Amino acid sequence: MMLDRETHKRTWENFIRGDEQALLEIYQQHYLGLMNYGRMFLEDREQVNDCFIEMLIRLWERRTTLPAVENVRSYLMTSFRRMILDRVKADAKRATKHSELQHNSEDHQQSYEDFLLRLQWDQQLKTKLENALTKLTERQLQLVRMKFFEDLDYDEIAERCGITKRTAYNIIYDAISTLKKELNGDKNLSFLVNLTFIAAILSATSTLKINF
Amino acid sequence: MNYHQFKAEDFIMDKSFQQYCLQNNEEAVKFWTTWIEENSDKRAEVAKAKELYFILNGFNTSEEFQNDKAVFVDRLKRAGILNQQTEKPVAKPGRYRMVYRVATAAAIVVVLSTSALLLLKKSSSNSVAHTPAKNAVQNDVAPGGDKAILTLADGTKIVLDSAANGSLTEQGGVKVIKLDGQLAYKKDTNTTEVLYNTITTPNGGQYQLVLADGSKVWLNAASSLRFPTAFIGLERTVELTGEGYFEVTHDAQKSFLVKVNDVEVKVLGTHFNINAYEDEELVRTTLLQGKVKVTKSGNSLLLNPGQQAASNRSSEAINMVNDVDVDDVVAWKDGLFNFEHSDINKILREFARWYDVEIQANGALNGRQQFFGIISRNTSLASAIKVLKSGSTDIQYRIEGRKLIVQAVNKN
Repeated sequence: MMLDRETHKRTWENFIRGDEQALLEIYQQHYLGLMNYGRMFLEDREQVNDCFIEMLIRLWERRTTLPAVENVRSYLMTSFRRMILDRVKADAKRATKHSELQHNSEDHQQSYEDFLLRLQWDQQLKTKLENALTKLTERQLQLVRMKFFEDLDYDEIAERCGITKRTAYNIIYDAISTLKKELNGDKNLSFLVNLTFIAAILSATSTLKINF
Repeated sequence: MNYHQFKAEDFIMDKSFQQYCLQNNEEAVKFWTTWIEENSDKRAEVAKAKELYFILNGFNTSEEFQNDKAVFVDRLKRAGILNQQTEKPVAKPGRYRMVYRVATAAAIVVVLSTSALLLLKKSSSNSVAHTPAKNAVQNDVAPGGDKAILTLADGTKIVLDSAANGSLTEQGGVKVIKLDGQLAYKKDTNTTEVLYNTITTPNGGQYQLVLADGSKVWLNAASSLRFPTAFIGLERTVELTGEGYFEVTHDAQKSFLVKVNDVEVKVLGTHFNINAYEDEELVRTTLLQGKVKVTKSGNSLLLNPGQQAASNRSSEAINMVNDVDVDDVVAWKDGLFNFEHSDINKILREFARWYDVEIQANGALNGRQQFFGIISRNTSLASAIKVLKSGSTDIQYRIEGRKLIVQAVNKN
């Protein structure tokens, strides 16, 4: 399988050449990584999505002046970070009483675990998840975050952590096994039931592939 | 690759499986959809992996992704960067079709609400709706109304729809006053006697009640409430079956307790709805104002406004549902059917209760199709069905006496 970085690089080249399809692909390729980054600072996911879209449109408008890049994610991250922080500052100025926004500046970035727990409103699952996450080592948490939350591939993770790809894979695999055991316990996780009604219907439909 | 030996942790580690979960790669979706169909014994492991994946990726479900992406595409079109032709479907099997489905459903909102408005206007004329020539609804059933039976502590039964307005009876120093579709309990003297009354609505009935403490209860069709004529003890306890909407008078000294089989809802003073029909899968407590605590088999959940506690009859767990459309939940007390993402089976169960008809479904109906819209409960059954038909032509309806016969249209 091709490395993510290679795929991203090719899409980027097409993007610079003015391929609209590449613009859509870039959105998909970096969606998770960038959205999750932004959501650590901005409560409202619509706002984060706005920033993401705004950034891509600005890049598209001056695509002819853009360089070829090796690591597209890192390149996008730099301008996205600026957009997010500008938005956070603007928000903080507009509502100074909302001091929590200021806490979420880059120095006070919340941890991955706290972020996940804050999002979870099913009390039972939250307790289970909290407990399960404590069973992971710092290292495991860091790699799980990189893999699923930042949406990096094993090569990228290996490179960033200075380990082999195999080791990266094994560390994450063990972490997932632990989480599965802790979360599953007696019965299935039930959080999907709690997602909005429509989400449940949609995922069920796509799983079963019902034709209309 | 041999996926058959895969456990949840192997699935989740696989890039294409992640793409299938998020539905952001057409090939991955196609591959895994087919694979899961062919390996149905792996369904449980796949479900586990999918759920765990959504937890770890920060709860970015495929739905969130599709919503966000739709905003993006829309923005590109408005900016003139994209036109209709350049956008290719991303995940064609399941997902893309469903998005299309939802888009059509959104169009139905308009259709349904327009017809609903017409019906709201027309409802006073109380006539049988004009029936279309084809698939004609041959019969009609009048809507339900304010009907209930009150059972006093001594077993006496009073039919409330025929009883005249005014003071009905007096029990242990408490007067029971009837006014149209409402019953009020007024304490006369300092009573110490605890007497229980039960109000029961039939199919096609509803009633409003003001309890001795001033709390108001709206009772939907096919429901009952057992309550004391005066609240003497440390708690105000009532028992509900079916569906009720409560506006409880605040009393910090005496909490108000609603018992629904093994579910208990405890409040100090607040507005909430409980739906506990036997033929609905879940018992749902929805909070509009204040705070309530829902308890079942030792598990408790504290609700804030806009949240709903849902519990399955067969399990001890209570699940929290956030951002519930409360207008939808309590529409019935305001005389409306309000359908938001409602499937046909749920709608038919509601119709059965309100129009007091038996539903006969010939063959399975497509429960995945969603209906949106508002219909006045004051509408006759034939007219209500007309509104449904304007939303979807996939189902045929026929009324025979007190039976509503429904059938999926085979379109191939």
